[in-house]
Amino acid sequence: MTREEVNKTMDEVFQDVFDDEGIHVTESTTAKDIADWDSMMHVTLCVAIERKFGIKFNMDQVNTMKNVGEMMDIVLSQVS
Amino acid sequence: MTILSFSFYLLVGISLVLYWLFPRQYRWVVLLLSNGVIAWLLNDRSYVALGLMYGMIIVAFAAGKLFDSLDEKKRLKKFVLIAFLLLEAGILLFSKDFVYYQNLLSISSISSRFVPPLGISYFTLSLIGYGLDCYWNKNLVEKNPFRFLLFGSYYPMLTSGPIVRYREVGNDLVSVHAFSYETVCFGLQRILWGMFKKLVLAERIGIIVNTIYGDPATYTGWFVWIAIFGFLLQLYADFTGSMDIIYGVSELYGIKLPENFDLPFMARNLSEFWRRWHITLGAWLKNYIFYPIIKTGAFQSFSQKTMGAFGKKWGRKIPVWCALFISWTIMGFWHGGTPKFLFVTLWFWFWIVIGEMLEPLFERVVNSLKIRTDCFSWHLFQSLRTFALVSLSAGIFRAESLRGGLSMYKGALISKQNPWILFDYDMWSSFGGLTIGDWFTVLLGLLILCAAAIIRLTTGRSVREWVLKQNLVFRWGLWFFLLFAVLIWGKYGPGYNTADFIYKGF
Repeated sequence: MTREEVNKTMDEVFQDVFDDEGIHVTESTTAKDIADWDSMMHVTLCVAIERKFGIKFNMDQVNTMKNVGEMMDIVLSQVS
Repeated sequence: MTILSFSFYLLVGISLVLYWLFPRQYRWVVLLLSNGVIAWLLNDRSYVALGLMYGMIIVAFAAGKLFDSLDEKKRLKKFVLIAFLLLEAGILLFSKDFVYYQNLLSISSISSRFVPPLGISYFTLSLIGYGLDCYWNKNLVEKNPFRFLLFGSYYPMLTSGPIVRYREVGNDLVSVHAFSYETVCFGLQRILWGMFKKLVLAERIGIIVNTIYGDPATYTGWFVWIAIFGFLLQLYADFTGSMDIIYGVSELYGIKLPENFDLPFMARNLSEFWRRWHITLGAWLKNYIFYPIIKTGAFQSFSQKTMGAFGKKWGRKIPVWCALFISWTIMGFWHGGTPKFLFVTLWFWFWIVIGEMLEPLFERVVNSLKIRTDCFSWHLFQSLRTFALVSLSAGIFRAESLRGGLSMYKGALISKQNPWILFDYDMWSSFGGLTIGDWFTVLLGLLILCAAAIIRLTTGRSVREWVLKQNLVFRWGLWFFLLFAVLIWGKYGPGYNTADFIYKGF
């Protein structure tokens, strides 16, 4: 899976979780860029990504990931 | 000895001279040794309390090492984690909650001789956090027991936190710090600012609050509202004052600790309030309770069921509210576990959930009434509403018990209303022994706090940095004013027993 493909799939996950088809994420997207991305939605988002890619974040990664780029790094390290 | 006593500052001074005189690579060793002495004195010279604290730190260190060595043996690693959590959390709960339930169940006193170490609530959470971080990521394991001992027992954090993560402060505690005049000045200024909040402001407001809470039969009606709102201001000045002193002392060693407050009264809702008030406790609960609960298989399957039953939007929220309920309940037990504390914390949970449930309705009302939401007045309304909801919870927090607090509220609502007390000059001019001068001091203190908040908001930097950019006369004038304000107006000295910090001993 390429980084571009992961990014595209990430878009779909974000659109589904936040129920907003207008969302398009980039590597630098953070919680500040998406209005409803608070701590309560963060885990929901992580679990949705896990399901979509068939991967597993450990709790330390959930606690420390700072932007979509870091999420993509973890996804790529597990799918490829 | 407390962090307000002269002997404390004498010892800090000696420790600092030794710290800065020693070669750079050994400074953390000086800190570790002086830390032991000061922690022992802060614990009223109790070897038992000190021994228990060091014991709990050693257990956390050993757990980290075990997680590292058991990385391939998942089941055993999990067993060690459970044993570690039970031991650390068990000691914490025993020390905080057991006395209450023992009395409730009329069990003979087996814990009356038990004196918990100062700051057990704070360092235990830091230690549990470290253990969990090591369990999840073996790269974070500390190999040097003495460095870890310093982290677990760092004396500025024993009075009222902050709750810290090893990865954030562990290195800073032992790394080489160059002496900086500016950093030391910043440290002293912050201590002074904390003293001002505690001795000048919180102690005076405390007199008003204590007088009303001390005689609920006499002080009913509007007196109760004055006490409730006053207590939240007292709590803010007291808690942030103690944190300022802690941060200031730590900065004298060149060590910066994570902040615990970020203008909480600017918050527009309760969720935001808890991101600005006692930040490190909220972050700990989020990282080590809320996230792990939500991510468990049981919660995920629960989430699938609720989404099937209530649709995607609400189905996702229900498990989150359940996890929040568990988190807030744990916060109640952390505060003391009595019905009063559980009520106080679950009060926040209740309003956060109600707020989320009714959000679509609120939006409809706001839109239909054409209320502008992008202006100062709307922000002010939201902040005042948040302040009122927090005050109502704080009012119970201050009461002796849940029953006592609720009966005060009953007294406020059912008794004859007495708004004219607000204009009773003769009564207030000697209320609880306060003079008119004291009232002006409180007013001036609150105005100074507001001015500091406005500077933070408009400049985006700390007040100390803002003061540093001013001219010499103004700069020194300001700090001398604060110094003399503490010396002259501060409530301390012979004949006056300064109250402990409210969050000391939590």
